[in-house]
Amino acid sequence: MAAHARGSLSGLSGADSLSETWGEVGIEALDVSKAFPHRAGLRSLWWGATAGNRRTALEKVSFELRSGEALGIVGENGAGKSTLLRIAAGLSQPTTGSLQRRGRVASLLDLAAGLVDQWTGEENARAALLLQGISTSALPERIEEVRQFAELARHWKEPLRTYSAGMRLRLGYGLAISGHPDVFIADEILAVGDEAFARKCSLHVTEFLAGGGTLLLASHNLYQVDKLCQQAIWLREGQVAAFGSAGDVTRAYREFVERREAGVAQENAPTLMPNGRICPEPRAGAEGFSFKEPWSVRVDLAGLEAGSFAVEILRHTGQLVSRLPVPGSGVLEVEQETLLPGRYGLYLRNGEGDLFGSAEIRILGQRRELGTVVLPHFWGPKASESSRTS
Amino acid sequence: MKFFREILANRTLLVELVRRDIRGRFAGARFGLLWSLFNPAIQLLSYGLIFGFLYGASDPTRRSVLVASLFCGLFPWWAFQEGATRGMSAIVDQSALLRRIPMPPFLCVCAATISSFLLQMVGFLLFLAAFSVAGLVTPAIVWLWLPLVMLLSLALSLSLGMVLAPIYLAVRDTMWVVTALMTIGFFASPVLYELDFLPSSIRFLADWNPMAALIGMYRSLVLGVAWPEPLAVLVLLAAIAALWGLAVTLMSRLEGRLDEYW
Repeated sequence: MAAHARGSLSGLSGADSLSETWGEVGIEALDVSKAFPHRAGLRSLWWGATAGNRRTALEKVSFELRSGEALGIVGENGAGKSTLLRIAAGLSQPTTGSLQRRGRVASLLDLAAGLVDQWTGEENARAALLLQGISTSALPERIEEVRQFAELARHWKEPLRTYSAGMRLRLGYGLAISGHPDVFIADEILAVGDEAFARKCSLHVTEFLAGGGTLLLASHNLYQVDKLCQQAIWLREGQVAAFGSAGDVTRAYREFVERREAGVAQENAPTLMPNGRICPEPRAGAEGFSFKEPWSVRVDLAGLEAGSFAVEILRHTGQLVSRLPVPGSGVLEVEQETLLPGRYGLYLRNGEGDLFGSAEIRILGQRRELGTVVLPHFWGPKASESSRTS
Repeated sequence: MKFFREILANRTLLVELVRRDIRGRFAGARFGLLWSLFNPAIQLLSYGLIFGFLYGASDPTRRSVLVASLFCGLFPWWAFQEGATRGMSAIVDQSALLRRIPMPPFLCVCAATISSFLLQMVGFLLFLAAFSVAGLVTPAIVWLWLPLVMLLSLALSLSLGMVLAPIYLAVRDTMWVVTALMTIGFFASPVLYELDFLPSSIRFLADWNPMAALIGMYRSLVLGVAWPEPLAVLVLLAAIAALWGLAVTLMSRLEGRLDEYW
């Protein structure tokens, strides 16, 4: 039991019961699996997904999430994110495994669902709150709360069919968070909505977490996951591909996506010319280069006429980071703390663009910066002397 | 039993769903509820004209009894048919809601059936009042039993709707089959005729038709004719119990698995 420190994510499967260390609110998922029948019919109504008629959406997903914590779910479309959120929200039950929820749970999974186009925002709010089980006496107060959060101004009393997607989000978000839930489950929040409302939601989530709230968030916005969540799960084809700190998981997932895109790009790669060689020189035994150290590659152009050769550094998306000229054979060394952690492709080409060699390098480390490179920079109350003189 | 407990626990939700259903039905219509009276009136008038004049009951008293008898057949049938078919499609119709709000799906079936039933029964009572004023029927103390009979007919259409709803969710052809069966049922039940008109050789079959017993009860209370056979009443109660049992089994199979169907 002691192995499960507060906030730890339990393993892929076979986790012990964690209930003993549990607080008042949160979610505990234990080996949650969900299988859908391929063909829905009378037989599947009775028997559910059977051996010959099953598509696994989730397989043995376990995690625990407690008060004040945020867990992000990342993964491609169809990886099982929404299924997991639906189960967490109580809209579906796992086929095997268990999921327990404590505290008041609110979810924002599908913006269009449950709202009536012909009704005004106010009428929709009233109906939706009643459906959430709000008593008639508490209703006016809650409606007012939604109105204030949604900030729909005159649209509040206009029919929903006149609403934009962003306005629907405002109403949906207001409805979900009114009444101060303990657990908030959200799918792709802030995907629509304007800048001001995005800021408002962001602020709300931060306050919500600071106030002991629990957040389960699925998003394609890795930056958002990284920023809001301490931990993340990467789902791939229904299975947990990675879990751990949000930074690690989003980085691993980003690398995976970039590699796959590069795989597609590689199919139309040019033919390799003989004789050239490019070879990274990491320290013995290391997986790659540390961000904090300079990195180097040996360029070998034996038997080739020296000329306009260059090393191209590409991200796996195929985006060119830099093209560095190399006059002949030798070692190309790049300063430390320039290229951000990730995988990069190195391509040795001549002026005509013929490829003479390629290699892959990995920069290791953890950084808060986003993007590809770190620009040499300075920050202070006023411009520095050096920047003025140089 | 579990279902009754859940209905009771979710009664605010159920009331809101019924309200929503009724409101949704008349959304945008200026005369709202009046339309739900208009169509029955037209049908009643048409059947009354055909049977009362074309097929010729020459005696005016006989004519008025015939119209009252038609009325006692048509309204219960409409309530049954609409309640059962709308209950059947309720889960599919309310999928947008069920996707977002965690609630037992059978509540939607209850709401759809109850709202259909309420509207039909409001119509029934209004027409009953109008007929009393017009002198077609004579108010009697036994009318106080009407709510109980209405409750029985609600139970029948609700339990049938609850059986059909999961089946319809799984197999959409169900709608066509049920529509066809309802048409057969309409003519197989004593809606447009009375059981006495049947040749005695097939008369006994009606005892096995729950709707025949129900319509018989309405006619007995409103028109003062004989109460249905004890066997028919027993069959009605057994049918409700059997359908309810099946409904409970099917609905619990569906619990937490709705998303497998959309």
